[in-house]
Amino acid sequence: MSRINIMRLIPLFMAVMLLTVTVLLWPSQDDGGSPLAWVNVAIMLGLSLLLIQYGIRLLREHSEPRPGSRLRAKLVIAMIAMLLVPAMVIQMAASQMVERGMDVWFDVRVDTLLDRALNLAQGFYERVEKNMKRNLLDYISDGVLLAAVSGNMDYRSTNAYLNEIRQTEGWQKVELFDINERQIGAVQTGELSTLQMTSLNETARLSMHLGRVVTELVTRDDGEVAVGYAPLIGPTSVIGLLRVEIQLPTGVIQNARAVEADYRSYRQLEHNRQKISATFTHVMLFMTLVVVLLAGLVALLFARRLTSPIGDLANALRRVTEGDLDVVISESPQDELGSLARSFNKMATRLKQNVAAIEQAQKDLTQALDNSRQRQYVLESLLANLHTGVVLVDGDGRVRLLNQAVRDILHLPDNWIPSADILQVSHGNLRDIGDFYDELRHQKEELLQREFDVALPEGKILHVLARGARLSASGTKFSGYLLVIDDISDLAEAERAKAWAEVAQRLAHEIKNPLTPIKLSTERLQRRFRTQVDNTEVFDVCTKAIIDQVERLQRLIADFSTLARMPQPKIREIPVNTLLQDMNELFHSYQRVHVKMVDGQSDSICQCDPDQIRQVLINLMDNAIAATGDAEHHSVRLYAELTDEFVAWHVEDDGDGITEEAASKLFEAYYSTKVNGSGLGLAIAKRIAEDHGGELKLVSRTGPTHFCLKLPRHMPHKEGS
Amino acid sequence: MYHLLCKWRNFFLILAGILFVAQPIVYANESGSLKIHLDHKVIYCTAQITVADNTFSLAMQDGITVTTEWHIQVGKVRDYWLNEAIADITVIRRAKPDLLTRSWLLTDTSSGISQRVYNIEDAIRFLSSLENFPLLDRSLLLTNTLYSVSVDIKVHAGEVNTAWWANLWKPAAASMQQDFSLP
Repeated sequence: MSRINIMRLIPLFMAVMLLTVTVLLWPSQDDGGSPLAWVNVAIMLGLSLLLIQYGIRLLREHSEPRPGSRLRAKLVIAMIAMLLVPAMVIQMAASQMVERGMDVWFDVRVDTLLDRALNLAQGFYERVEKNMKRNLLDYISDGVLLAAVSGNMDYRSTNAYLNEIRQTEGWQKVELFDINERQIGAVQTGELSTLQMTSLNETARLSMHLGRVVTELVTRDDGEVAVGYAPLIGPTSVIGLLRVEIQLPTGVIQNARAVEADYRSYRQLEHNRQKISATFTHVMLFMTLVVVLLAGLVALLFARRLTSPIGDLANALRRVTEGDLDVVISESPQDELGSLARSFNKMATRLKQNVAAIEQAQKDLTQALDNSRQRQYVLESLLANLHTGVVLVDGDGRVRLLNQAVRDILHLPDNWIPSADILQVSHGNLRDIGDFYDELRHQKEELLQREFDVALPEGKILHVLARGARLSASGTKFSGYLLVIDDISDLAEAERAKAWAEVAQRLAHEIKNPLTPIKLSTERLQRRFRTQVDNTEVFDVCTKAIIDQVERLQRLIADFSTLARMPQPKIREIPVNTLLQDMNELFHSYQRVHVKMVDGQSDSICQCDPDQIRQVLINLMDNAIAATGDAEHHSVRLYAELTDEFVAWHVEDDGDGITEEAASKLFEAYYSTKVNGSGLGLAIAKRIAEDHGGELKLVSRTGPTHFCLKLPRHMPHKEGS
Repeated sequence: MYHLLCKWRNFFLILAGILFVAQPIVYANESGSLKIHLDHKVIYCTAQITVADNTFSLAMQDGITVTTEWHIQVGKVRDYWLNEAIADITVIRRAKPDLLTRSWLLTDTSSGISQRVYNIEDAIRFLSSLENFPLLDRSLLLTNTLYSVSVDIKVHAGEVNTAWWANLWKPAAASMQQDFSLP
């Protein structure tokens, strides 16, 4: 069981202890049912019920108690315990003292002393009574008295005799009555005028009735009197009564009565000894309970006054923990708690200000972050959509950012990732990139621009333009380098082609003009001087050679002109099979040429310039026929394939094929494997294909040699035929 | 205040219940006998409390005044309601010892008659019994009607505290009840 649970059981333990004490001190009949005892029982039961209720509430309480309540309970319990312990000690000591006092008060010696004193007093009375009875017995059968009672004596003689008796016995008063209770005579000490007539009481009648001497004590205003009754017994029965009185001595009587009163008081106290002890216990217990109750009440008020600010503080702290910073607690007590409350309020105010500042900063940061994200998004979108390769390198030479375009342009390997060291990954064909970065890093100028070739893995040479800039923004700690890579291969090619075209056009213009007069002059020479020469055979050979070479030069110049001034394709719709049919009719004289029509799609059309496409196909067929020679077992195949988007013409031949070196330069201008070739046929064909938005490529070099002209079936816009 | 009372109501009810149940359990009443006698005019009762031998004698021999207080109530029995009170009589008998003369002065405070006896048994009998005590006139009662006589006896040793609150917590030494009806 945890310590907390044990602490929660303390009120129940205290209640059980208090109930045990209540049962032990339950009022008994010997206590006389003292109200105080029941008040004590009620108080203790009340306290027990309070403790039980509090204990049960503690046990059933699962949630966190109200702030300060436990401290308050502990303070109250501690203060009550501090008061209860000395109170119980005092009560036990007082009880012991009372018990000891009782033992002293009711000591055996005191008891014996009182008994003896009472015995003395009783002895005095007994002696008086005994003497009186003994003396009276002498007169029961006194003849004079009997005669007086019987009426045989006169009043004077009777009184004289009675006076004589009185004097003899020492009695104060003597009276004589007959059987009818009629006073016969009476004498007394002192004046006779004070003598009063007294009637017989029950004791006197009893004495007469029983015939026995009886004495009694009578208390009067002037003191106590011992009264004796002696029946006068005649020959057969009681015939009268002698009544005598003795005035007991006042001092002795007072002392005797004082002894009796003291004895009675003592016995009364002794009789109530247990009750007195119980009453004392109950009084002490009542006082203890009252003190405990008052102390508990005062402790509760004090603890409440003490813990109330602490509870407020704890409650305020809980609210602050939950995020409520508007809490303000009272600062009324001018003590440490008040100082604590003031400090808390200051703290809450500062906390609120700080939170407001943090929220404002967070808001600004969020807005800045949003802006940054927007800029980053724009930048990333821009970089992603750029065809220019971009590489961002930080000051440590590590790649921070690179876009997809640079990967596509340079065919970067997989180790080109952000955080990679650019110098380490720039090796092999990418060494120039690393050198460019290294040069940029070590130069003093901010910008650097270089052009260099990069050999791609598939053997293609890429001509790139690299531009670099040093980044050192003053507002940020970032410093690095921005590398921008552009593929300018096509641009360089275009510029080279343009330059060649201009050269070709200029050469054609310069060469074409004298060729026609040369050819005409040669033909004139042939017509006029053939008959005049000696050796006509040599003459014919020479003139024919001149004419052939001139014609060749004219064709070459025509091709130059065609390459230089390639006209725009005149797009129109034409069935694919029409072109195939034209090729079939054109090359039907060659047995090895096989043209295959498109099956089931005879009306399939494509959009193109039919003259230019026909020129390309003728060029490809001529090359194929030339490559196959006259071998009968070689064949040339032309066929077309259609898709929804493209049409592809395939030209295959079973010739010797093309070498790898020739294949790499096949579509370059002025490259030809033929003796009389201009080297412009495939270049022109490739340009026509590109002008149509398509491509011309060598599918396989040999076995068979396979060219494919692939064009889109639908052009974006077409010009009228 | 009202809220406070309501809040503590259950607590006080429980406490009162405990005390109400507890007190009768603590004090076992001593037994006694009660008899009703009728004659043609008066209704008498004879009641006697049976107490331990030394209940009276110890105190009386020590000179302590012993008083018995007889509280007699006559009521008409009613069903489902409290009995209708007809007579409420209190008889106080006192025996005051005189240690010097070894006698006891017996006093019936209701009648004012006193007598002195020299025998303790007479004094005890005087205190512990009420013989043929006239309760009420027969004409006050109806025939064939059930009546109840209850007697509560309290015993006081020493001087009786005459204050009004003194006997509030004084338990009865014996309680007797007898029903009767006139033929």
